[in-house]
Amino acid sequence: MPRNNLRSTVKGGAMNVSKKDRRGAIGRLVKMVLKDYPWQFAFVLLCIIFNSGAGAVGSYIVGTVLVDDYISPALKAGATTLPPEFTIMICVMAGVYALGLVGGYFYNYFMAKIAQGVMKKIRDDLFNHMLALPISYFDTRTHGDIMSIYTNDVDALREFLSRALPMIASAIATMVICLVMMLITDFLLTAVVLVFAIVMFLLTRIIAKRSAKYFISQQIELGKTNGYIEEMVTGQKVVKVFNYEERNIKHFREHNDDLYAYSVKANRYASILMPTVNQLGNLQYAIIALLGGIAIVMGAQNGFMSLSLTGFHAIEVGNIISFLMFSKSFVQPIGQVSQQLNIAALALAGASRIFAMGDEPSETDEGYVELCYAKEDENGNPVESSERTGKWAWKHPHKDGSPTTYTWLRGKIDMYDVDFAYSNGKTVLHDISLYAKPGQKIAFVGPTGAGKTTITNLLTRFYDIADGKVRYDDININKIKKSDLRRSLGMVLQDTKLFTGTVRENIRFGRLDATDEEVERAAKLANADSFIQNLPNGYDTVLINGGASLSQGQRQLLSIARCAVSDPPVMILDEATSSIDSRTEALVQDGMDAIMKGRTVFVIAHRLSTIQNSDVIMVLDQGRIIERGNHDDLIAKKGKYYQLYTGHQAANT
Amino acid sequence: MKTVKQLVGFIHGYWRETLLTWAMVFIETACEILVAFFTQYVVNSVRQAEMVGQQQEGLNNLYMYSGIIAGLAIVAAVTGIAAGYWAAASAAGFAKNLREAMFVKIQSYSFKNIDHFSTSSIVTRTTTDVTNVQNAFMQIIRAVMRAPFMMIFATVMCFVTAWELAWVFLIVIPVVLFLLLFIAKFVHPTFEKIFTTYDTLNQEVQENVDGIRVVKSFDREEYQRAKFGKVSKFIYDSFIYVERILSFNNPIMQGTVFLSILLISYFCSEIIVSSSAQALDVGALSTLVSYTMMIMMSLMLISMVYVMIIIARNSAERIVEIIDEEPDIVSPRSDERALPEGKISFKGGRVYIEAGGEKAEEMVSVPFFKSGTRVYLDAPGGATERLRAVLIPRFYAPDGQEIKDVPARIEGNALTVVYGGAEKSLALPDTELTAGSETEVVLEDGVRLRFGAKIDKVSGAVTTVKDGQVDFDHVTFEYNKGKPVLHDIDLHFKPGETIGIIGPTGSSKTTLVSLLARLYDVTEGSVKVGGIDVRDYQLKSLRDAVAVVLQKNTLFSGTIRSNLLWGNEYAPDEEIWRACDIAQATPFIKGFADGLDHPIAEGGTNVSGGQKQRLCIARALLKNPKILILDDSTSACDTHTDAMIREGLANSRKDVTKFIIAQRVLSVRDCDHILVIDEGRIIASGNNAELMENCNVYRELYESQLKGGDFDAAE
Repeated sequence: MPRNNLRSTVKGGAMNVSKKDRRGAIGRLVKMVLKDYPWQFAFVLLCIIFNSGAGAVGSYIVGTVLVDDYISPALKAGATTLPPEFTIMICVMAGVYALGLVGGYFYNYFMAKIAQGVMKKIRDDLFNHMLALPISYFDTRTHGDIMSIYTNDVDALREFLSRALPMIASAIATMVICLVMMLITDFLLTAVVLVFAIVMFLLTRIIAKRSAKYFISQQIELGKTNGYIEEMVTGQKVVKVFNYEERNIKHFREHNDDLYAYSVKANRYASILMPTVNQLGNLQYAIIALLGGIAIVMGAQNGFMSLSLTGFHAIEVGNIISFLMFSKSFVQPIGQVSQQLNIAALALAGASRIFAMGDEPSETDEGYVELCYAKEDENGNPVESSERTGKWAWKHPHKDGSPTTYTWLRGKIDMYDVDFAYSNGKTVLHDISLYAKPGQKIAFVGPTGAGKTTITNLLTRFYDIADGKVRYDDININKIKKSDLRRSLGMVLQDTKLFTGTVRENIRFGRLDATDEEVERAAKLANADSFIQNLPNGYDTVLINGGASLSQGQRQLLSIARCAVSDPPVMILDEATSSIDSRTEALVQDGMDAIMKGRTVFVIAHRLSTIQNSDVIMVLDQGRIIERGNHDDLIAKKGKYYQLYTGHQAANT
Repeated sequence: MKTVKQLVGFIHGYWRETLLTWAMVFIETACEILVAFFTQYVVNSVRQAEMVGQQQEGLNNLYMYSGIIAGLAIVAAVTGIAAGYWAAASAAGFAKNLREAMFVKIQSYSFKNIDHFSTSSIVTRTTTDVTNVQNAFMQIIRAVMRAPFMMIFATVMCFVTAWELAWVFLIVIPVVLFLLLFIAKFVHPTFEKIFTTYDTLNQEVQENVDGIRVVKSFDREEYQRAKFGKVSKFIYDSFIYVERILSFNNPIMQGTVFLSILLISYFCSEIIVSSSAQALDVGALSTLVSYTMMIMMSLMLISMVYVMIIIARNSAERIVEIIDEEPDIVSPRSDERALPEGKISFKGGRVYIEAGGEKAEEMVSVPFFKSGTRVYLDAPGGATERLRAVLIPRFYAPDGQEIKDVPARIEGNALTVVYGGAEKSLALPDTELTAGSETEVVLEDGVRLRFGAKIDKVSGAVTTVKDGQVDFDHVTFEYNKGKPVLHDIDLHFKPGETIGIIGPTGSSKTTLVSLLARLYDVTEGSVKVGGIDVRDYQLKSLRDAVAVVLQKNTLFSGTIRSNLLWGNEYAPDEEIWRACDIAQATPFIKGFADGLDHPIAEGGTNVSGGQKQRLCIARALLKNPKILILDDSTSACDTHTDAMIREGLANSRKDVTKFIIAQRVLSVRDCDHILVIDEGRIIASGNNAELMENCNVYRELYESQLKGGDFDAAE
C-alpha cells in the first residue's frame, strides 16, 4: 500500500547523496540481512527459484512437450484421441505449478518478514543511538532535518525493502530462468530477444531518468505551493485583519498555475514508459513468430538445423510456442524493474543518511565516580545504602587499588578560570570563576548571548569546557559519570518539554520509582495540584502534543513538579518564569521557592524581582562576569546592575 | 457517494482531457485484445508452415498476421502515450481546481471557522490530502476505463475463440475478484492502524528530539528507549500479521493463471485432436493463455483501484469538509446603481454630491491610493440609501505625458502626491466635476490632474467609518454555547481616547477587542463603531478602519517593505517611514544595509521578537485606521521603546481611538481609561490615580511590577 510514494522531497531526494555512499548503503543492508537472517534469506532465494521456475517449466511443457510430442504427432497420424501419457503430463504440470505456488507464498511471506525485521532493527538502533548522541548534535541541526530521517528516509527504505526489492528479486530470477530456457530452445532467436531486451532497458532508463528530473521540478513547485498555503493558512488571522484575501488569492493562483504546468509535464513524460515497453514486447512477439516460422520452413525445405544448448536439432511448432512464452516472460519485468530502480535510488540515498546518523560518535563518558544512596555511620561519614535514604553520596573508586571512598553530596560547585567556545570557534565564556556554597542561590543576569545558559550547559556537561576547572563537591566533574552528574542536577527550562502520556507519568519522569503519593506531594509542593485536580481525569489526564492543551504556566508548574519529585540537591532554573503573566508567576514562584529550600540553586532570569533575594548575583556581558555580589552590594556599587534595576539606563537599542 | 459526486464536479474545465483519455484508453485496450486474438493465427500459420505442401501459404499468412500484430502494437503504443498525455492534464487540472476551491473558501472563513478546524488541520487538508486525492485520481482515471474494458473484451474474445472453454473464465473471474477484494478489505484496517502507529512513532521521536535536554538531564535514555521499542515492536507485529494474509495475494493471482493454463491445455488439446484441428488449432492455446493474463491484470487493477479509493476516501472527505464549511461572518448585502448624471464639487475640503434630486455632503479623507484606480467618496453614517462619488484621478506632466502609478492621498483640500522621486504637498483647488465626463485641474506645480467621475446610488452595507467612537452595549459573548466568556459589557469611548486593558491570561481581554473588528460576532447586545453596529458595515471597510495588532502576530516571507505594504499596498516609502518612526522601527531597519528591502523569513523568524512586534505595529499604522488595537504588542520590547511607541501614537494619531492590552502596568499607566478585567467581567475601571485608590488588584500588580526593573537589553 504505497502511501506518499511521491514523498521524494527535494531535500530527501537521491540527488545530494553520492553514488559511492549509496553503494556503501547497499553493502551494509546486505550485511545486515545476511547476519540476522542467513537461513531465511537462503530459503527465500530457493522459493523465488521455485516460483519463477514453475512458470518457465510450465511454458516448456505446454509447447515443447504437449504440442510437439502429443498434439502434432496425433494430428499428423490422424488420431482423434490423445494417449494416456498426455494426462500424466498434465498432472506433472499441475505438480510443478503447485510447487511454484507454495514457493510463491513463502517467498512473499519471508521476504516481508526479513524486510520488517530489518526495518525494526534500523528503527530501534537509530533511535537508541540518537539518544546517546551529544547535545551538540541536536544544537547544530534543525529538528526538522533530524525528523526527516525518520519520516522520509526510513519510509523510503521501507518502501524499497518491502515492495521494490521482492519485485526486483523475482524479476531477476524470472529473467535468468527464461534466458536459460530460451538458450535451450534456440540461440538465434534468443539473440533477437536479447537485442530487444537491451533496447527496452536502455529506453526505460532514459525515460525514467528524464521523468525523474521533471518529477523533481514538480516536487519543488509542490513544495513552494504547499509552503505558500501553509504560511498563509498559519497567518490566516492576520490575513483577515488586513483584508488581504483578494491579493492572497491572486498570489496563490500564480503558484497553483505553475504547479499545474510542472505536474502535467512530469506525468506526461512518465506515462510514455509503460505503453512503449508493452508494445515493444508485442512487436518482438510478432518478429519472433515470423522468424520462427521462417526457421521451420527452412528446416523442412533445406534441412536447416537450429542450434541451442542441447546442440543441433530441428525446430518445431511447439518449440516456437514455448519460446514465445519465454520471451514474453523475459521482457515483461523490464518496465517494472526500471521503475523500481528510481525507488531504489531514493531508498539507498535515505539509507546512507540513516547510516550516517548511526555513524555519528555517541557521547563519551570517562567518568567513574557514581552517585549512591548513603546513610551515616557512627562518625557521621557516609556509608553506601541499597535503600532510598534521602541522602546521597559520591562513590569514588580509586585506580591504585586503595579502598573506595565516599563523600557526601552537598551541592558545592566551583568553577575556576573557565573558558568555553562552541564548535564554530567563537569564545563565548572567558575566565569564568564562581563558588557556590551548599544551599546558596546564585543568579545570572545579562543580555541574550551573554553566556548565562552556556554556564549551565557546562555544569550538566552537555558541553565540555575548553580550559579551566569545574569541581562538584571538590570532585573534578569530568570524573563523575555523566548520568549520575545529571541526576543530581534538577533543571527547569524556559520552554517546558512534556511527553505524551498522563500527567502522573510526566511528573514521575523525574523519578521512576516514585509512588503515587510522592507524585502528588511533589505536585502540591509545586502549586500544581489544584489545577491538576481540575483536569478532566485529574492525574490520569492524557497529555498530547507536549501538553498543548495546558497553558504555558500550567506546563511550567508540571515541569517544576517533575523536578521536585526527583529531589535533586542542585537545581538549575533557566528563565523558568519569563513567559508567564505576573499573577501566574507569583504562583509558580511560590512553588519554586518551596522546592528551592536547602538546595544549591542557579537561576537565570530577566525579571529582576525574581532574583533579588539571591546570595550572589553575577552580571554577565559578552561571556565575562562584569559584576558580582548580592543585591545590596550591587545597588551600592551603582554599576550596570544598578542601572538595570533602577531603569536609569541609556536606551540599549 | 455524495463526496464522490462533489469531487467529480472539480473536473470542470478538464472534461475534454478526461474524455479524450478515456477514448484513448478504449482504443489502446481494444488493440491489445486484438493483438492477443491474432497471436493464435500467427501460431497456426507457423504450424501450417510446418506441414508439407502448405509451406508457402503458411509463410504468407505468417507475414500478414505478424504485420497485423506489429501494426496494432504501434497503434496501441501511440494511443497509450496519448492517454497518458491527457490523463496528466486532467489529473493536474482536477487537483488545481480542488486546491483553488479550498484556498478561496478558506479566505472567506471567519476566525470561528478557523478555530473550528485548527490551523494545522487546514494545512494538512490543503496539502497532503489534495496530493493523496490527486495521485488516486491519476491512477483511477485510466484504470476505471481500462480494467472493465479489458475484462469484458477479453471474456468476449474467449467466447469468440473457443466458446467450448470460455466457461472456465465465468467461474474463475468472480472467485478471484472476491478473494482479492476480500484480502484488500481485510488487510486495509490493519494498514490504517499501522500508519496511525507510525504517526505515534514519529511523534515519539519528535518529542525526544525536542526534549533531548530533559531526557538527558533526568538520565531517562533507557526509559525512553523502552517506550519507543514498544511502539516499534507493535508496528513489526502488525506488519507480520498483515503479511501473513497479504502474501496470499500473489499466489492467488498466479494460481489462477496456472489453473487456467492447465485447464485450457487439457481441454483445448482434446478438442484440437478430436476435431483434427478444425474446431480449434494449437494457436488458440496461446491466445487463451494471453487472455487469462489480461483478465488477471484487470482484476488486479480493480483491487488496486479499490484500495486506492479506500485510502483516498478519508482525504476526500476532509477536503469536502473544508469546501462545505460556511463562513459565519459575512458582509450584509449591498446594491449599487450608477446614476446617469450629477455634479460633484470640492469646496474648502468638503465634497458636495448632487444627483437625481438628492444632495450629500462630506469630508474628504482618502488614504494612499494609486492614480488610475478607483477612489470612493462615500457618505459615512447609517444611511442605508446614499450617494457615492467614484473618481478615477490621473496625473499629466505639463507636456501632456501621463505620469503613471502616482501614489496620492487627499485630506480635506490637501493633496499629497509622490512623483519625480519626491513627496509633495499641494492644495486641491475648488472644482466641480460632472458625472460621466472628465475634468481637468491644474495644480500649483503645473502638473495637471484629470478626474474621471461617476455617481452611484448605494444601499445596504455601510462602507465608511465616520470616526473612532466605540460603544459596547450590554455585550455578552460565548465561544461555546452556554459558556459566556464576556458578561454584559457596557462601555463607551469617544474618538481619540486611549484605553488600557489589564488582567490575567484567560480573562478575555483579547476576545473583547476582537469584537470591534468583527472577528467574532457578539452573542447578545451590540458593538458599535462610529455609532453604527459593526454588523452593518461592509467587512472590508470596517477592518480597514479598525487595525488590530494581534497577540499571536506574524510576518510573511518577503521583505520588510512587502510586509508593511499589507497595511496599504499603495503606500509610498515616505509613508512607510512615517509609520516606522512612530513604531520605533526606523533605527533597526536603517541598521540593515538593504533597509526596507531586508528579507524577512517565513513567520518573521529572522528578526528579534521586539523587532517583529514593531514591524507589526507599523504595518497596522499604514492602514491609517480610526481605531488601533495593540494586543500585548510590545511585550518583547524594552520598557523604553514601549514608552516611545506610546508617545509617538499619542502625538501623531490624536484622533485614533487606541486600545492597549498589556501585562505591564507601565504600558497602560498613562491611558485615559484603564479597564481591569477578570473572567470576562470588568472588575474596575478608571485612570491610574483612581485605580490606585480603589482597586486592590491593580495596586498590588502595580507595586509588584514596579519594585524591580525589567532586564531587557535583549536587543
